[in-house]
Amino acid sequence: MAVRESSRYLARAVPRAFAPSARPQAFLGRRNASDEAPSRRLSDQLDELETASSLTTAVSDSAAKSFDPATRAKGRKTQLPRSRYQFRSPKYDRGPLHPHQPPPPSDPSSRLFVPGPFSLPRAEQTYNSTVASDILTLCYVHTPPGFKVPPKAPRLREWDDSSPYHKNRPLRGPRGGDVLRLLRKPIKFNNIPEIERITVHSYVKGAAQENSGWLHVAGMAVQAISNVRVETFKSKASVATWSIAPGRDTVAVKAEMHGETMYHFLGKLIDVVLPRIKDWPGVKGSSGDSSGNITFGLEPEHVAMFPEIEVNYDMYPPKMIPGCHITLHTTAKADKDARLLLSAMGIPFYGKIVQ
Amino acid sequence: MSMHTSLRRAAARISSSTSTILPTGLPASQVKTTTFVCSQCRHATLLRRPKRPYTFTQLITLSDGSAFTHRTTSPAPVYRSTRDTRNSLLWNPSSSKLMNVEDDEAGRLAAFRARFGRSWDANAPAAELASSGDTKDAATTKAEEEAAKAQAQAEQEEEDNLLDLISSFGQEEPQVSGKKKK
Amino acid sequence: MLTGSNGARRIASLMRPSRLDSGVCISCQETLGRRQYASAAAASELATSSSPNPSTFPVVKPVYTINAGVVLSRPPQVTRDLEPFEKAYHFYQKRLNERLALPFTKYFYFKRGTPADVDWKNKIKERRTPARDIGNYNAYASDAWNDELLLGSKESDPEHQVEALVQDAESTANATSQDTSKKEEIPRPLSRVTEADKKGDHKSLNRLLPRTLYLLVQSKEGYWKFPSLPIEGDETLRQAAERTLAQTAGVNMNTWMVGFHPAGHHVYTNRKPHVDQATGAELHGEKTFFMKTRIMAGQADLSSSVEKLQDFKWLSKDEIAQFVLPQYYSNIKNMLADR
Repeated sequence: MAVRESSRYLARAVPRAFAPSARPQAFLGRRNASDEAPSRRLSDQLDELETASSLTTAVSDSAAKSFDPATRAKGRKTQLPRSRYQFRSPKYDRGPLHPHQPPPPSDPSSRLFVPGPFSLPRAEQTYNSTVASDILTLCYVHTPPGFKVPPKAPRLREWDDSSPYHKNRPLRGPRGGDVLRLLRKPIKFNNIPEIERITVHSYVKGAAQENSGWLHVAGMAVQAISNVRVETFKSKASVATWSIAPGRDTVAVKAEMHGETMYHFLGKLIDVVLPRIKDWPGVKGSSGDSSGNITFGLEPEHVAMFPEIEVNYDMYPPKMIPGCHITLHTTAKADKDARLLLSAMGIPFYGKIVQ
Repeated sequence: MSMHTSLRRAAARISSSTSTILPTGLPASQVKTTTFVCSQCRHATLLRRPKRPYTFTQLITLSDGSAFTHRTTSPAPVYRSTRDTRNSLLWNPSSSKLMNVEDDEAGRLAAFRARFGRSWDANAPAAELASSGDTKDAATTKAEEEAAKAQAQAEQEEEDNLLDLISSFGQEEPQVSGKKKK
Repeated sequence: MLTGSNGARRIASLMRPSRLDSGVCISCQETLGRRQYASAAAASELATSSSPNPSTFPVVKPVYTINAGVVLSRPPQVTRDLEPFEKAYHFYQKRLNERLALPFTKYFYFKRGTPADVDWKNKIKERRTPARDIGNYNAYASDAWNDELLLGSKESDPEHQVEALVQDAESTANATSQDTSKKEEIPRPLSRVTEADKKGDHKSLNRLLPRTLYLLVQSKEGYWKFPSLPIEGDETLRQAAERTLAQTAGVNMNTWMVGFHPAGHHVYTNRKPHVDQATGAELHGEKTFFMKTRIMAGQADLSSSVEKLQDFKWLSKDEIAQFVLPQYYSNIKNMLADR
């Protein structure tokens, strides 16, 4: 409906834009010579637009019924060669100067093409229709007319030039630690916090202690619950009691979800898995890395409650289903905003809320 | 030599321009990164097909009858959940139906409390009745926002109970009117 | 901040004449005065000498009645209906995915020889693909190129896909269960169109499930508007809005007021300023500030309304345009959700 209406509005708005007005318009003064080029002229671009949507055009019934590409192709005496209807992308990228270039990754014939989205996730619709506007209203900060933001001291401090060696030194870090926290800007319509990605990470100590079977099972389980292929990681730290040496043992799997997959995972987690956990108090209020990413853990028996693992629970070797850490990365700059967003999406928090 | 450098510059420009038209929604690992080669490179890079597990569409039916589809690796066409946000206490803190842990059909517990309990114990069922009036239209209750307010509500509930305890001290009828709509 | 400086600041702000125009409200004036004193004391000194004292030159400003309005809304309850283009796009991407995703590992989910395995094999022979919602299509067959839907086909419709899923579940349950006499019945998702939609009942909260609904009331003159009442005494906007809600739509609602700031405002100027009997001030019109509120449970009840309201309706954004005055709608439309 919106598509059809927009063309109507366009048709009404365009003559108004080109009508001569008595008032000299401000943007006419800033015209560039390149605007006159045929490729940039507005009227030419508008001529290319079709006035009607292709979905509304009427097709005669006889034409629609007689169109059957499959039987038409079968009825051909000689079949077309495969190259006539199928393009195969080159297998290798041989550099930008090679005559045989692979198509861009957005092209379905490209080897790097990832199809999708396949649906409009429910959690995403909840966010867009309800949560985002509520957060915007909640976080509004009123500044009266004439209000000037008081200037703040620079975050990196100067050296006090008490020593000649201070010359050309890089600036000092903030007081009380060298960490530069993210700047929290006031939340406006264009920086409402949203969920950016979700990471499922599982550290499998059995993979280093016993055999790699633990890692394979963990990879299958994490892939099943997250719908994406997992990456494996080697240990960075040395754990003497588990006999794990850095750089030697592959001990962890991680799956990273974006976009549609992420929202499907979030919906499944909130609506089905978390309520089934017995006596689960919620996510701890002090969780978070103080830049808007919240992490919580699931025990192995909780991971087994995912419907994907439940459906073939017998196929996983007994007691080898891993626990995992789930990190919800948001675009919020502070944990306070991230918690507001996640609790609006349905994740409960408990305990002392650390801001 | 000059010919060589101009070629290099052209290469760098082309590769950077191709990288800008890539869709930004792709994860960083799949987007081809621009490399500014300093000498002519003769090797070819294998374009690996991204590996993704097979996904089905599954219909999830929650305990209150609401249903939605999602993409999942499980081949089961329908998943019916018995325990979810619609009937768990953590997501419905004001629901009296879920709060009732003990079955007191015969009224024996209440009778015991009336005889031996304190006024605080006698107060509890009445308070629950008062709060059940708010949530009789459970279908329109939005679990998400309820959860956001859960903390505050729980605290207020406790406070109310204490206030009732103070106000109803020494009285036969506990004051229900102190409980207001939240 | 030290508490000792607080009293000093208050005295200073009393001594210093306000150099703000009186169009700024009291709480904003406090904010401005505080911030400026804290940050730029030198600048305020300069301003003191230059600005005239407003108390000595009283500026006649038009006086308005300040109203607190409530935009009580019910968020969407179900997902929205997809556009035809979106349906077609999702369906086409699913068929592309058949070819590009890793093949389904059957042995990981079905043990060889079990009834479920036998049933799965029979089904695969019929529909040629593991997925149930993409129609009869095999991405690896010789006619895999024929992956586009023909005109009028139903496969891309979400209702059709859900029906296919439920039918598949039913047939699996019937084929794998021991007793063949009983037929398994799996409940379909409930209808997205409710009774209230069919009857055109504007008072029900169960209408137009995919849209946001707003509470509109009809004043005794017959105009439709959001509930609003004048602010009394020195209560804040939020307190006034809560009182408005209780006094117009009754207390039988579980509501949540979003934040402490209004989401929009509406100014109505009278043609002729009329004089208020109580204070003798000339009222030029009224300004209404709307607070955003969500309803969780309950229903509006106008029987105890102080304004003698006639009627109420739960309306979506485009229906509101048909009921309210055009001037009113142009003021409120930007704070209403499209969906």
